[in-house]
Amino acid sequence: MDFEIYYILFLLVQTFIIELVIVWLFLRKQSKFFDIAGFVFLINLFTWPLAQLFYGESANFFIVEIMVVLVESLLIRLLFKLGYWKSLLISFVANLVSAFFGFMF
Amino acid sequence: MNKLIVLSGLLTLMILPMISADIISPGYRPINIENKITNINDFPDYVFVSIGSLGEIGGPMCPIERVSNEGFIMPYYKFCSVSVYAIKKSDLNENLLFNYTRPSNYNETLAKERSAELENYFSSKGIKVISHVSDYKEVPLSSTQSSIVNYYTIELSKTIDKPSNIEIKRSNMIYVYIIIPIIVLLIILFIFYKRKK
Repeated sequence: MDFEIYYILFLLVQTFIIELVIVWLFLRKQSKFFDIAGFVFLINLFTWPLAQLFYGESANFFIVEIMVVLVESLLIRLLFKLGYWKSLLISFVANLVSAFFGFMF
Repeated sequence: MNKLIVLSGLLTLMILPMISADIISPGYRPINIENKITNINDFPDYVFVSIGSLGEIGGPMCPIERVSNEGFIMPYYKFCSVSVYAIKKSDLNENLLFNYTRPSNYNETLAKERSAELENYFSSKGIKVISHVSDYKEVPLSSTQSSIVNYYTIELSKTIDKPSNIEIKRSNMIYVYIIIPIIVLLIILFIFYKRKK
């Protein structure tokens, strides 16, 4: 495999782990760890490739991130059966932290 | 001593961006760009040459090249500012453009003289048909773009600075980026369906 593929997989795994930790911190009392991990994995597999597609076309970072936050909040709300504001908060924090780590490394 | 340290620090700060300017940005990769004139055969009385400029015209880093009969413009060093000129075959000065022998060591005076001579020649005999030929692009590592072909349809009466048509070739990653979310969406819908039942 090319270096690019490893790098892309690394970014995906990095995003998954960071968002898993954040979502787990919010929902550890109401959901099992493996449910959280499975749903976060699905959510990431949905939004992450689409976000990369837009970043690859030099789309504006903030616009893409806002779209990702909105879509992920909707999926969190539906998969974890949460209220809209709590889903939005979790999605916002998870993406803020993963974006921060993305910039750092 | 303190002054020396401060001066060294300032000098380092000035030099560092120059060094990094020639390095690929982390998380990015360069892609190949080809530039082609589509209607070069419409001008049989003209020769097309590309000239690069990096401070001076026609220097060793950005030489003068003939555009191929198929219309392909030669690739240049990424910092060269490249333009294409049309020159009437009867006005072509092969010795000045292509048969110039450079001195073995760089001589600034000679280089400036040649640059001025070329500038005079192109302003009197040449017609600038394309300016700002794009030769280098970096894309994010995750980008699906693998190469770009810029097609220029030229006219002698005007200078164009953008390609008339751009063909972007993509890697197979585009299918991965589209198919995975579709599969995941189907799985999520299946989960809902099971829950509703």
